[in-house]
Amino acid sequence: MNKQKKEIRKLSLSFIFMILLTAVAFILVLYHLISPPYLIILLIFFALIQIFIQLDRFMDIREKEGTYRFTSLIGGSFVALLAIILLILL
Amino acid sequence: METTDPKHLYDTQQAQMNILAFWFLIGAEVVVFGCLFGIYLAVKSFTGDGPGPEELFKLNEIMVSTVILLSSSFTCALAIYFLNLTKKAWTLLFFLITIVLGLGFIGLEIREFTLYVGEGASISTSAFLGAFYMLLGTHGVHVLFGVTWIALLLVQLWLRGINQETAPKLFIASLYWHFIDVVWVMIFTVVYLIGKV
Amino acid sequence: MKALLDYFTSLPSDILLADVSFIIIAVIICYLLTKHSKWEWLWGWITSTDHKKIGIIYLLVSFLFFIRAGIEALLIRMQLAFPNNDFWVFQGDRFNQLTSTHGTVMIFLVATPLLIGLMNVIVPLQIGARDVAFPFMNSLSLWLFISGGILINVSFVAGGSPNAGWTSYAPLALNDYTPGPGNNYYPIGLQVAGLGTIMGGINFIVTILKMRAPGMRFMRMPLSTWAMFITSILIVYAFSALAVALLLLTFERLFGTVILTGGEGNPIIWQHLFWIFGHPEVYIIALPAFGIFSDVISTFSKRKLFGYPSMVFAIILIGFLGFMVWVHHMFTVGLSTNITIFFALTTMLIAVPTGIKIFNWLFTMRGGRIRFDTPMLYALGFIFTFVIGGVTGVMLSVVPADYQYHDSYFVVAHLHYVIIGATIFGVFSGVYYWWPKMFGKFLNEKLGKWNFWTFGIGFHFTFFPMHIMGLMGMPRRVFTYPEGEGLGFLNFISTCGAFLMGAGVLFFMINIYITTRSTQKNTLRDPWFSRGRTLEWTIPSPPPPYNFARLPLVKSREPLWEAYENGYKNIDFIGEYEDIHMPNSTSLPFFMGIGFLIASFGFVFEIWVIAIMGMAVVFLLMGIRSFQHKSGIHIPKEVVMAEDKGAED
Repeated sequence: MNKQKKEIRKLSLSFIFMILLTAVAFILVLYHLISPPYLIILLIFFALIQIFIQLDRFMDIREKEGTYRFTSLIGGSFVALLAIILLILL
Repeated sequence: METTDPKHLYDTQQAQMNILAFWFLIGAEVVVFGCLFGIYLAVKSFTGDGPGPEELFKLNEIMVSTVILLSSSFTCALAIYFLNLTKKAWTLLFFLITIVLGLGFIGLEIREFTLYVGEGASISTSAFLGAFYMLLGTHGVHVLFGVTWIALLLVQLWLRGINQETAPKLFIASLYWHFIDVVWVMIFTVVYLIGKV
Repeated sequence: MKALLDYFTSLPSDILLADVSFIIIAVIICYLLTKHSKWEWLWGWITSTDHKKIGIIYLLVSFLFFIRAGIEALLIRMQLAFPNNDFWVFQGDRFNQLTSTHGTVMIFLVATPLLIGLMNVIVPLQIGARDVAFPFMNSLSLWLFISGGILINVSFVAGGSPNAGWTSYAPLALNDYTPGPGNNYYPIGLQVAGLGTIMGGINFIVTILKMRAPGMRFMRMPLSTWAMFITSILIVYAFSALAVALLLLTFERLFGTVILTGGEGNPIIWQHLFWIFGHPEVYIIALPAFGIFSDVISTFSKRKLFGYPSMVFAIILIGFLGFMVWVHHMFTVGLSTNITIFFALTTMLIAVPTGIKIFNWLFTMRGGRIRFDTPMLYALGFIFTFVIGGVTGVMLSVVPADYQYHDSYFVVAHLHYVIIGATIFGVFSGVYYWWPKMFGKFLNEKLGKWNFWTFGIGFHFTFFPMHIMGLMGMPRRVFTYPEGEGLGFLNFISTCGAFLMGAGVLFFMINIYITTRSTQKNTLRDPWFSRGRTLEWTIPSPPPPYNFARLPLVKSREPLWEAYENGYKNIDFIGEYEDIHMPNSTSLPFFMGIGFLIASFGFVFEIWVIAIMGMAVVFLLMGIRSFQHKSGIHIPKEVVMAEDKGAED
């Protein structure tokens, strides 16, 4: 039973942390607490942390055959990133 | 009612292959949304005579949507947790909450869109708005599909119980739901928050 | 009745001819099916989930599209045969429709599915699997491809074909310049077909990752399988980018967004998205052909493939670099110098792994006991042709020079050298090579040689002059050219060559007809003079529905060849005989295809009721599928044993 409790706690903590990150980002933007270029970098950093939590804690990406799963995502992100960069530079 | 030892719920070769295939579909979806973000970022400043992101977005309401969708992701994870313990009633309950939250999100999004259109910011007003509606619309359709899908699977769960056939399906649906949430985190950050910076 | 007659007489003569021939062919087919009471047989094929049957349908349907787009090519060449020519109705807009559909059909509905079809048959056999990972999805891919194909193909008799080129560049492809349903067919038809292709890609990836026979490690997979594996990965990512591009175009044309317009948006977005897909697509249709050639050359030279690891490495590198070169299609857009230079360099770089492969093929042949059967002839023809195409490719990657070549016939020559040289030669080679495996009969060798020499010589006569035309300044996609520019003679030669190629294809069709009619069977396991090296030659021809009665144990890269070397007649099968589980046949994918077809017509003509009805059918069937129990059928052990014994005798 202990293991189950741990699992629940893990999920809850991840969720709370994500909500917190969102709230901090929201407040930072609402009150313009940091100057824009740094703020944008920080916001994207926050988003990436959240995505990583989702992938790791909720989607079990590291379980069996994690390599294949990562490969799939990294491949997709690589193509998407190239597309985004070239479209921004337009 | 048929129940199986939780350890073996996903052990069939077919279940393993389905899950792996779904991860590759997620890889494809990353490209889809990546390209949509690319389009959006390319034309973000092309606001023409219409409103820009600064004037248009009402951040408080978007924050509500975000919390709703994040919570649905959490309840979905809980549902899978109970699924793995083969507790049918709890699984059903948390998936139902997920569905309700998803429907709430869709409702808020529809409300948001009608509001914008009412303010004269329609899909053909400017390139920025076109890309905005395309990105958000694609995500919204994904949410709608997810809600319908999970609902169908819940009927199966209700009728057939937790077994090697239903459990992998629900697990894959949960992967889909979390992925939608991941996309929303990016939309919230890139479109709404950075739009306001 | 009279109104109908008036309508038909008011049609242009080419459309009237097409309508009449549609009707005649349909009547003949129905008559033949009824006469030989074959409807049930046809239904069996339509609902089959056997990867071999699905592959054969893929090959057949895309070959029909090949004929259609080939006839278009002949019409194009007739119009261009002489300066200031006026052939039939194909000037101006009709000519644009002709070139646009020729390109679209050839790339999306011929090259891609031909290879997917061939690989559908071969890959599970090569990895020692009894089916693909998702037989249902395989069938669904097929029917989505056919739906999309039907849409693009009927467009010219129902509202006009797409006429903005196969690349469908904005803003030309937008409502302002090309109104009407014609250009709606392009994004919607391709969206449906592309969806099927993505599913196919995922299916192959999982099949190859999870269903290999015991002992078949990654570095023991045959080259065709390796190529198809990397191709599938490219498909999954590239076709997703295409899906977004097509969605964008659909929004522009149907829902009034202004993202691609010149004034409010930026048309270059389309070019980027299209070529992010478009360049990997080139490798999607080239890599499987490389794989086929590797297997063919090694078999017919009776030698181990030279440099297997470097071949695998080259395929992976080509696949990776393939995503980083797309801007070379857009050099003249005027992007910043740094971007242009980066993409020029990656483009030149991609010649390196390709060169590695060419040299490996040559070294495989060196010292081998080469047989010049038709598959090998096509492989040799490929090496010769593809080197020319590759060299012009490197020429095109030089940015200042590209400003001269861009949109001229030089590019047309290059792309045909590469795509016909690799894909079409590869498919011919593969079809001749695996035909005995698929049907238990040899294609006629004599006709095969006629097929190769007419097609190959015709090919070079058609496309080599185009290099020179391009250098003389003839732009592509024009329906005529003035006299006295020195272009007439070259164009005439090119037209003659095109008809020679047509004759080559005719020989191929005659060959298929004769072979199918003949009763001479060759049911040897390894019909190519016992030179087979890989797993597909260890099982009967044609294989039983379950392919392998017992699973093979793979101990090396070329298990069959190793067994021959050690004096055995066949490899070891380690598995026990067991009840074999096979998927049910199902009609759902077929009806889902019909649902998509109906919905697509609704979208093309912007009749939303029909569109919603069609989509409702699709989603309903998806729901039904979700609720079905996937029971499948079991082939009892005794039957398998008896069949296997029968095959050995």
